[in-house]
Amino acid sequence: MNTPIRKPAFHGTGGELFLIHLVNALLIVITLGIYWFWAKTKVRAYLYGQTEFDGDRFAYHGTGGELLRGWLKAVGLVFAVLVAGVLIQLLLGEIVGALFIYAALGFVVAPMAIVGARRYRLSRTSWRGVRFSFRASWKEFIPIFVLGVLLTVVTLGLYYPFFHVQVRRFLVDHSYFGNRPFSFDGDGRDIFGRHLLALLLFVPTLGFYWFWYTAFRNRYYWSHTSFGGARFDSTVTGGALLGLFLTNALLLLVTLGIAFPWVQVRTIRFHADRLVLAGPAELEEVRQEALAATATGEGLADLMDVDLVGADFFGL
Amino acid sequence: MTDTRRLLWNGWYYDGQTARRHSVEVEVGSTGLALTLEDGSMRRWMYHEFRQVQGSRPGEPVRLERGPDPPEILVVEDQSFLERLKENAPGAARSWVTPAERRKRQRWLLAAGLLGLGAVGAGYTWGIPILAARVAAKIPPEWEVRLGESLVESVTSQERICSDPELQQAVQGVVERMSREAGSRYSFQATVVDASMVNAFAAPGGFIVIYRGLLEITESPEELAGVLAHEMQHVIQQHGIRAILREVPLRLVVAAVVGDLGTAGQMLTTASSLGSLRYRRADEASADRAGVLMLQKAGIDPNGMLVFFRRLAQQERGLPEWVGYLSTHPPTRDRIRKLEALIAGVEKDWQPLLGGRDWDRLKRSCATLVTPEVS
Ligand SMILES: [Zn+2]
Repeated sequence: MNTPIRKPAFHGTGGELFLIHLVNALLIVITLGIYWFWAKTKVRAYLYGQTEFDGDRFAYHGTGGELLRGWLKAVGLVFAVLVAGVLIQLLLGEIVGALFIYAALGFVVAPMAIVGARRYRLSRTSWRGVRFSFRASWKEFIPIFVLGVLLTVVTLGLYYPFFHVQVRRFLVDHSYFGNRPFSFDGDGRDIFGRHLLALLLFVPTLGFYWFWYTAFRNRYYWSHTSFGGARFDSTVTGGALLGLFLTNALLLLVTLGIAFPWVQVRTIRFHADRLVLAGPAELEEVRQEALAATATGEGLADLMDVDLVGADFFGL
Repeated sequence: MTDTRRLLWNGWYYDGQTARRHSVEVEVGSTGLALTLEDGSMRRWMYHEFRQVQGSRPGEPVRLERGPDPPEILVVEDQSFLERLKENAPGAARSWVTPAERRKRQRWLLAAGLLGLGAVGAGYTWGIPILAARVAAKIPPEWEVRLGESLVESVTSQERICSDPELQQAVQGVVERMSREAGSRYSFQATVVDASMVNAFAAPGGFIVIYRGLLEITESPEELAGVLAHEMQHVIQQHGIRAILREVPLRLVVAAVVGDLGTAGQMLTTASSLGSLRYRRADEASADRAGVLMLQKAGIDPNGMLVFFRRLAQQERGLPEWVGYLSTHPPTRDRIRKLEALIAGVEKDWQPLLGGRDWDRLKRSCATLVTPEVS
C-alpha cells in the first residue's frame, strides 16, 4: 500500500481546560462580562493548539478585541432591523412589520451569521504556518438558504436532508487551505432513505435510532469530502456515539456540570480518533493565500444562537 | 537535567509561504539560532527576533515564530530545548516559559484565583452593604417617593382601598404621632387595603400599606401601632433602597455572565419584581429595636407590639391569608425574646391611643362597606 494516511490527534486535557475556564469565569465576573470575548478566544486557542494533524498542530490567531468589535456590529445590525421593523409596523401595519422582522432575521441575518462565522474562524486558523479561508459571500448563500427553508416547510420536512447536504456543499466547497480548496460531492438522495427511516424509527426506538442516523450522516459527509487527491473518512458508529452521549451526560449530572471541560475534551478526542485523510493530498504544493475577514458574522452567530460547534474544523 | 553541552537539536521548519515541512537541524549559539535545512541552506534567528508560541504545556512541542504575519515557524519536539535556550540567552529569555515555570505560574494563578474569589465573597458580604448604605443616604427623597409610589401602585392596583374616613384618619394619626417623635425626613402615608390577607409592608419614601386582614386580628390600637412602628423603621433606615442597591448590581453581573441582558433590563423596569427582594435578618431586628424606641418616645405602650407578635406565633399557619406577613416576619422565639428584653423594665405613663374609642368597631369599619352587587 502506497496510499499515505494522515490522522488527527487531540492532546488537550480536562484539567488544563478546567483551569482556563476557571480563570476566565473569575475575569468575566470582575470585568462585568466584558472579558467574555477574550475568554472565548483563550479556550479556542487552547483547543486548536492541542489538535494535531499529521504531526503538526493547528494554531488559532483570533483576538478578543476582534470578537468584541464583531459583537458590537452584530448588535447594531440586529437593532437596526428591529427599529426598521417597528417603523414599518407604524407605517404599514402590525402584520407587515412583524413579517419584515421575521424575514430579515430568518432569511438575511441568519445566513449572514452562518457564513460570517465560518469566514472568520477559518481565516484565523492555520496549520504548518498556512492560513485557512472561506471564499464566498453571504449573498451567494441567501438563495440556497431561503429556498431550502421554504422547500423544507412546504414538503413538511421531507426536503430537509437535501437542504442539509446543500448547506454542507456550500460550506465545504468554498473552504480553502492556503490556495487549495476542499470539495464535497455528496448527494441528498444518498441520505434521504436513512432520513426517512430515522423519522419512522424515532418513536419506536425512543429517539435512540437518531444516534445511528447521525453517525451514518457523519460518515457519509466525511467520505464525500476531499482535499486535492485525498479523501476523508470517519469510523464513527451509532453505538459509540450513544456511549459518548450517555457517559458525557452522566459525568455532567454527577458533577453538577463541573465536568464540562472534561466532556469537551472527550468529545473532541472521540471525533479526532475516528477521522483519517487518505490519499495524495499534495500538501507540499499548498501556498499561503490568506484572506481578510471580520468577526461580525461570529457576533451574529452568538446573538442568534446559531450552533456552529459541529461546523468547526472537525465538521469542515 | 539538561545536558548543557548539547548544542544541536532536530526540528521542523515552515517558511510561512507554503505548507511544506522542512526537517531542520538547530544549533544553539551565543547570539541566536542557526537553522540548517535539509537542502543545506541556512537561516539565522537572533534571540530578540523570535517569540515562543507553544511549548510550556506538558508534552507540547516548542513552537517559535519569527517575523510579521505570516511568520516563519520552528518546531522542536524536545521540550528541554527551551531550557537550553534560556541558559544561552538570558536577556531575551524572560518571555519564554518552560513547563516547570508554567507549573509554578499555574500554582500562583490558582492561589490568586482563590484569593480573588475570597475577595469577591468578602466584598459581597461586607463591602457591598456598606457601599449600599452610603449610596442610599445620598439618594434624594423625591426619588425614593417616586419609586415607592410605583411599588405601592403595582401591588395595590388590583385591590380596593378602604375608604372609611374615620379608620383612614385613625391609622394615619397613629403614624403621624410616631413620625413627629422620630423627626424623620419622610412624610408618612398609610393606606388600608380592603383585602382579607394578613399583611403589611413599607415602600421607600414613606408609604405604609396595611391589609384589612391584619387590622382585624389586632385587639388594640397599640398592637397596630407596633406593626406600623416596625414598618416605618424599614423606611427610615432605608432597608428597601439598600436591598435594591445590594441585589441589583449582583443580578446584573449574573445576567451579563449568562449573557441574558434582556432579562436584566426587564428586571430593572418592572418594579413588582423588586418584591422578591428580602430584608436581611439584621434589618428586621433593627426595625424591631428602633420601632420599640419610637413607640416609647411617642408615649405609646410598646407591649402592644409584643402581644401582637405572641398572638401571631400561636396562629394557625396553614391558612393562605396568613402567608404574606408570616413569611416576611416570622414571629420566631428569638425575635420575641429580644422584644421582651427591650421592653422589660420600662414603665411609663402610656397615653392610650385613639382616646379609648371602640377599636373593635373601628377596625371592622372597612368590611362593613358593602360593595354594590351587579346582577
Ligand atoms: Zn420587617
